[in-house]
Amino acid sequence: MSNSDAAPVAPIISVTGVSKWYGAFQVLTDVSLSVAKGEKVVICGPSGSGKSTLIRCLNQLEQHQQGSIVVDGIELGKSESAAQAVRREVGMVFQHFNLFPHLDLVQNCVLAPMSVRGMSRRAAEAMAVKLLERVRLGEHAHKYPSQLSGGQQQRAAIARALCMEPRVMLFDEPTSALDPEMVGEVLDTMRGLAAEGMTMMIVTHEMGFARQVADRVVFMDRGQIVEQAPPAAFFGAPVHERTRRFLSQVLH
Amino acid sequence: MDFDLVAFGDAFPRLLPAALTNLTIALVAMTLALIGGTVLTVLRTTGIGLLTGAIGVLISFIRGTPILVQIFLFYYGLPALGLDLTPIQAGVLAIALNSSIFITEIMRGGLSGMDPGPVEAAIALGVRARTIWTRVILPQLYIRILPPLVNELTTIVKGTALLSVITVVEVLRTAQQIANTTFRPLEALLAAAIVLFALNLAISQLGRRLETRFAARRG
Repeated sequence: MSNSDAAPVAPIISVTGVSKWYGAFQVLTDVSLSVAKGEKVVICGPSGSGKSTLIRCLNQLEQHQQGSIVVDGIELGKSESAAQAVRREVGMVFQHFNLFPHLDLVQNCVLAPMSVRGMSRRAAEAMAVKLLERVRLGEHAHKYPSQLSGGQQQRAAIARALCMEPRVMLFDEPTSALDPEMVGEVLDTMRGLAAEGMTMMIVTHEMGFARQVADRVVFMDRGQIVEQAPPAAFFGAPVHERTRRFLSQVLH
Repeated sequence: MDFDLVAFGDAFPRLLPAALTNLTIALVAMTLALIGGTVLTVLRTTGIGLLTGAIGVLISFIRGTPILVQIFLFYYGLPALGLDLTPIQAGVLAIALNSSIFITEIMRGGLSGMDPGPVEAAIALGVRARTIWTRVILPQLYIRILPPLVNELTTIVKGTALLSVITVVEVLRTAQQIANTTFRPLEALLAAAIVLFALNLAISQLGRRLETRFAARRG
């Protein structure tokens, strides 16, 4: 698959020298990262390393204070309309699913396409049903989130994000809140998406998944990118001591 | 001591149509109070100091004065400002204002306990703030606060009896009229109490059924 040093295509995500503070505490320190179209980047690192904060800056759920973030040609941080324009193109999947509890799965899926993209109810519902079937939730399309398992809810959340036909998908620890037996079904759905060429940035502790699916693994610690490499090199020959220590803790 | 069962029974044919007045006033006042309470709730989240300050003063004034005084202010006070309302109009507005204050307090409590996750998801999907309020926050909030809202509606129904003092011919005033002609206040007033009680019993039962119906959507 494409790699950062492959073709001279403009990256779809370009993060340059980004820093961010919560009060006096610096969560991101001079982070630079670019992601090519179709690339799958896994971000890992100990908790508190800033990995979630970084991907939340990409759709401006968090604001960065220094540096520049350009997504799909739009520079973020300049205006609210830039953030809105990026959010139309970037889907996000959360650790706790964050489905709308008062709406059934189809209505969860059509809310944004109808209100943001101005789709007709009919077209939006047709697409919702199609995507819910794709994540194998066709027979649950008219159930409410509380009636589904965690794995089903997370697959529904993926379908909801896909209904906006995003160009990039961000995953913020999508399997961390799941019971172990449900992790597989969510990762399978993500593998399917990867196989179709979606650009993906995934914060996860699932190193097996990273090894199989990622084009590149990024290791963060204390708000900085310590090391990034294709999975074979990353897992086979990590350069930095901190990376080795982290990997020895998560791989057994 | 005697209790005239016939006088007691005879009161009902006159009280039941009057109960329709109480119910109508309560439903109109509740609708207005829901709208008012919702508007106040949204305004309070804007963080505009002057606005939230003014709403705070209004809340403590309404909560700190008897509703009977508020009803009198609307009926006897407002004409002095050139606003002449019928007894029913004045009563509905007084109750609606009073209740919207209690509803905005209920809503604020409900909001503070709500999971911010769905709102964050809506923001990430690019949904505008207004739509997030109308399609994500408020529907969840109404479902969450259904039990105290139903309770508030029963409080409103009880409050409608207060409008008897500004000449609204509802259940209590009708009972007083009956008592004046039959000289049987115990029977007439007890019948009035039972009619109002039945009304509230029906409302709380309906509320319980709604709660069951929306149980899956509470999340």
